[in-house]
Amino acid sequence: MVESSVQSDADDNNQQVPSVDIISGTVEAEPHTNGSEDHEEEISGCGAQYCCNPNWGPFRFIALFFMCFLGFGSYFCFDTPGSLQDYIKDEMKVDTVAFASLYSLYSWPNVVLCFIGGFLIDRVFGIRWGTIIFSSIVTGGQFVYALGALVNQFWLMQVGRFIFGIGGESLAVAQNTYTVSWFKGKELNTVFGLQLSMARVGSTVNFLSMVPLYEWVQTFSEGYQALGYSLLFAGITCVFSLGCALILGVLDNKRSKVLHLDAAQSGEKIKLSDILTFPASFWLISIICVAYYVAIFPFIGLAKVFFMRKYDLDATTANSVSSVVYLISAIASPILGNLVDRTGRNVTWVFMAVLITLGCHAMLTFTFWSPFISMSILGLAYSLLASALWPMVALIIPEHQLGTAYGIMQSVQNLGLAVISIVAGLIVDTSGYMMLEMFYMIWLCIALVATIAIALVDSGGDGYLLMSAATRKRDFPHPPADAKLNEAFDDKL
Amino acid sequence: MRGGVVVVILAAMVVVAFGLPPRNLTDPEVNPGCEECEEPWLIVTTGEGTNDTLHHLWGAKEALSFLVVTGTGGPNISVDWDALHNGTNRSITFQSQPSSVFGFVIPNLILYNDPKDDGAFKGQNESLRVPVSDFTWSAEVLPNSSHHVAVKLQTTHFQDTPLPNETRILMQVSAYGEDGRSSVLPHLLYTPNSAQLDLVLDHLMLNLTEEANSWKKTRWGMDVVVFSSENKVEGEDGDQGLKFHTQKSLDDEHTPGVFNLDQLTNAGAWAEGEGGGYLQWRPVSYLSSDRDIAKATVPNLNTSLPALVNLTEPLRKSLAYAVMGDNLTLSGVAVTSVISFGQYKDGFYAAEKYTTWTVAIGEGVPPKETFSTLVVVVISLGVVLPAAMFLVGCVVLAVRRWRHHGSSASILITPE
Repeated sequence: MVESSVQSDADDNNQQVPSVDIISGTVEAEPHTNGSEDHEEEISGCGAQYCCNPNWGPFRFIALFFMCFLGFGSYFCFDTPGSLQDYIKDEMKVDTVAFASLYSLYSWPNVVLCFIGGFLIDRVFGIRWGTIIFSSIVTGGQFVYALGALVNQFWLMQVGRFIFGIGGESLAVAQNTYTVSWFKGKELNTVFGLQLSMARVGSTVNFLSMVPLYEWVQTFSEGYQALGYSLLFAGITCVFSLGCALILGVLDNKRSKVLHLDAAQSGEKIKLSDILTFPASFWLISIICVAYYVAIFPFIGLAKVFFMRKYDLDATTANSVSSVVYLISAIASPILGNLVDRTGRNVTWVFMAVLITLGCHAMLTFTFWSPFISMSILGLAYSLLASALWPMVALIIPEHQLGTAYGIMQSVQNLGLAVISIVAGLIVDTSGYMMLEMFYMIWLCIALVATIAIALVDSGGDGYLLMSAATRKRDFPHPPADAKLNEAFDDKL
Repeated sequence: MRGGVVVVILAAMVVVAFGLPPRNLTDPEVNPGCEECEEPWLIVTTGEGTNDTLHHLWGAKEALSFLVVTGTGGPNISVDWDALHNGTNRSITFQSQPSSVFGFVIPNLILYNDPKDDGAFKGQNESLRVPVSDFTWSAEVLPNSSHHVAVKLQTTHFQDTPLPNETRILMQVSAYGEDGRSSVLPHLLYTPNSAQLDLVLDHLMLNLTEEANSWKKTRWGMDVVVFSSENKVEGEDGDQGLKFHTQKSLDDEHTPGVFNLDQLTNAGAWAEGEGGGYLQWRPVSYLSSDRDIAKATVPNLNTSLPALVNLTEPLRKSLAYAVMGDNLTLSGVAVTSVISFGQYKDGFYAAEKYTTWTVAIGEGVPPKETFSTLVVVVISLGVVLPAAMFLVGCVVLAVRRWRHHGSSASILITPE
């Protein structure tokens, strides 16, 4: 699943980073009412019970449960190609390039959709129906993908993954929108961290469970049909998430009526002309975003067979190794996010994360040390980078342009992943896994160079990205990104 | 870790720079001096070096034979064809006694039923040995150069019955006069002291016995006899004779997806300056002509390597006996084994009806895999560029910080 800025690491009380560091950019500052504050809706029946009463404080935590599992199915099923890589290649008779297209096709629609996901939620479907529709698309895509395997038609699997991709990222936008609507001003960052951890748990569970599931399915089926049934069973998680979307819609509707709130909006305002005002640091951050993540997600997608061939692991153990990154990340992300919050110095942390990741890939390339070691460290580095990189955008881009900025970053990231996934498959087929690792290390070197460039650019300016949190608080009571807003207007006049 | 990488790079460059001296190879002769030989009893090519002469001897009659013979005499060899046809020992002689003889013989193919899907041949009861002598072979000398000669050997008949067009055992045997790497997967290294055999079992569905025809999960294997005249040379740990090694390789660039390198060598082949020989192969057998790793299985070698005790009839008529004679049965000279093709869930031979095996045979120390030039360049750039940028960046940041402190101090010191 492409990295999103769900891993908000801004302290609720830390006003240096706007508490709107989500994919979609800004959110309404205060929940709007629909003007009938004096006329409280009467609740009766089971709705009057505490657990169903929006007036009850912990009610939102019931909704939190469903919010957390809203994206579980999507994250679980995203990596089903990776966990079943060798079976897909054997049963569907495809090479690594064709296999990699199962990841690439997920990313292609999101090159465009990341710009319009918020618009669809705000202007077309609304948050409730939007969530249900996107969750349905995810579920439908997964079932088409499974059907393709059942009938031994690889092209149908590819269509399924494309449909899955259309729903996947938009569902993440919807999830974020719900989160901000319910938890802004309360436990927003904690909830974001929790949701990120749940996303990672979904990926981890996929890698740990799909091979045992496939082996069980083989007791009553074989060949491509066994593969199809396994993917159908995986699709049950998407059905579960769809159920959560339905329930969440009911809860949100109830909450809106009782508390007289307007439906949540993403507040995403995309204005492509804004990119002309984006500073050089932003473009360097985008380069890092692409160059770093192409060494993570396509790598994990192809890692299973790499571990099996190089380290002589069986399928289950190889998948366990792949899952370590997400497992570590589920635990470490909130901790490292807190660390970056307290220390600042985002550029330094990004540099360290990229360097450590480069070292992990070097370990996998030039040694036969247990891959558990390098993958565990990689999980830490991956979490550290996410915690330090995404908030940097909010530090340098004015609040009203964040939607566009994050949209651009995600679009570029998805484009990079879509292309690099295919290139990675080609490299494996023609030149082997060592060359693939070299390829990833080249991209990480690019990310490293871009990080150093950010440091140089930033040091030539106000040095905000290099500063510690304490220095930022002391020297910049208001984030410099807002000052840039005024500069931009002055330039235009 | 970076220091270790640099050492590997330097070692690779040294090995590349100081390879073996090249040899000029003679054109392969098929059955030299035998007018009535129709099948390839003996194919010989010779490479003259500065200090020695290397003969490559190949044969497909009675048993598949592949020998590397090193000597200090001239290039000529003498063949007593009647003795060779009768299986008399030492029917092939050289101008001077060879200093080293190394080779292997394949007397039989093995068809075995593998209902448990074990992959390797483990002496299953349902097995049948098919003598190589049941096949009729043709030989074709391919276009060659002074540093690369090749011969194509192909079956035409089985038990005197013509084989269908698609059914064949195909072997391409190549000898080399310089260092390099084969252009055909698995891209094995070659040296001026080596040759390579590329074996293909293509649609080998034979009408054998009624019982064999009833087997549904069949695989192919081969009996192999490997021999060396350098049996007395000791290795570093005092071992003598032929040993199997499997080496882990970091680089699968030349054989995508394969990280191991298997070798069967004399103990002496590892000792500097001593003779001996080696067989070297990648543990991969491709199941299609495009040699995609996605369709591949594994060649399994029985590594117990018991000594050869008795000379069977095919062995007596092979080139091994023609050169080595009764010395073949001396202690430590020859070992027997089985190479079988298959692994769990590969669908058995019937799935693709195509199996390859490529092996290098050579005299002396086996060539070592090294990183390619591209890898070395990428590593160098990947280490140097970011390091240089980091250093420059640190200098720039330090200078800016010093200037910033300097200007702050001058503001503080401004006189009233």
